[in-house]
Amino acid sequence: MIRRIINQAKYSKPFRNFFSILLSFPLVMWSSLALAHHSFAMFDQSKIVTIKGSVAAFEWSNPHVYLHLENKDEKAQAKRYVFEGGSVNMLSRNGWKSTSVKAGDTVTVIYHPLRNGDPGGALRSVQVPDGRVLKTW
Amino acid sequence: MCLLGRLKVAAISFGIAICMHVPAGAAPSFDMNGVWERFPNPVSSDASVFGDLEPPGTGPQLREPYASEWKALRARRAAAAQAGKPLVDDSTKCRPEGMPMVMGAIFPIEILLTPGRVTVLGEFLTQTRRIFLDAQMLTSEDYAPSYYGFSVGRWMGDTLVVITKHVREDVQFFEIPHSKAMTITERIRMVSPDNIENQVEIDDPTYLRQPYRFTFGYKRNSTYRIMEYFCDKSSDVIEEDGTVSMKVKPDPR
Repeated sequence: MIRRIINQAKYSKPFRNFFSILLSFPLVMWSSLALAHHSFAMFDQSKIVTIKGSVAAFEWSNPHVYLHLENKDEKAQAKRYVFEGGSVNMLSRNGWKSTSVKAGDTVTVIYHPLRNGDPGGALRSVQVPDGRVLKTW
Repeated sequence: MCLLGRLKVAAISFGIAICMHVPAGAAPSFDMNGVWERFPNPVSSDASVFGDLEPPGTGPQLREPYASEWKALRARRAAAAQAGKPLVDDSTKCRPEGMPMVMGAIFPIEILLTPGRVTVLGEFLTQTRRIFLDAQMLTSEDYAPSYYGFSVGRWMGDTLVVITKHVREDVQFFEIPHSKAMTITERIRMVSPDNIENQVEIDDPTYLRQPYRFTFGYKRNSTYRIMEYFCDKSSDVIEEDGTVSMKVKPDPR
């Protein structure tokens, strides 16, 4: 499993961050099953990207939670991203609360990008302002 | 005694013989009440990658042309997923799973034993399935097809034997077609105080060459409290070609 992740992520810095986060949590085996609202084939699970920005909105909803993030691109233009997480139920099992992320928070998001190149992806984890890293699955 | 009377006596004698062999109506030897999660996890042992569910066991042995049609359908779904454009399914539409998928426990299930009833509460989509103990199976005239069908159960020793009929034809387990005559038989027993085994058999001679058999296992989770789950909102978009994409426009409300 470790080798597989390493091969996929090609030792990038975001990967190292991700991997250290991954190791800091017990693997909850059934949580991946509980993600199965729809196929996740629209996301490129071989890529792991890290992005920092300001939370525009956080939707605590089923079948998925959504985190809207604003970050500045290389031309200092504001760019909006949308990240889809698991269900409220699954995030709750991983320690999330509806108030874990608030509009205006500066957070670091780790995600699998959308295959079609749109700005967004499948949320893997969020580092919230107090330093905690909350996993989605 | 007329022929009909003799047949009735023979049928009753046969029933008594079976009951003597396996005591019916006995109390279960373990307490099945509680929250259960699928075990082992059927998705993957690799929790870092999320894949799609596959039919349990060796899959259904369908008759032709249904076998070829189902195989082609599954191949189309796999190809679409490979291309990053998954096809819509009932789960994406938040449609109740029905039988037997609800027993697949994508999310945890809670089992309640009350007099004359076994109730299965599925966290996913807040589903409810009722099993009526020692009740008579209803006919199709008395019961219209439904998502979970009509289930009757009977304790046979430490095994709860459940028969389900009248599942809607458009409620399909992994898109496997079935007729109105489909019968699902479950043999549910606790193999230890913290583990349940559910041997499932789907019988439908119209579509299946032989009954489709598989086993769902469950592990007790004595600390988890089932939560409600309703689909409030989704940014998933179902395209005209039946594929699913994610809307990324900033539309938080």
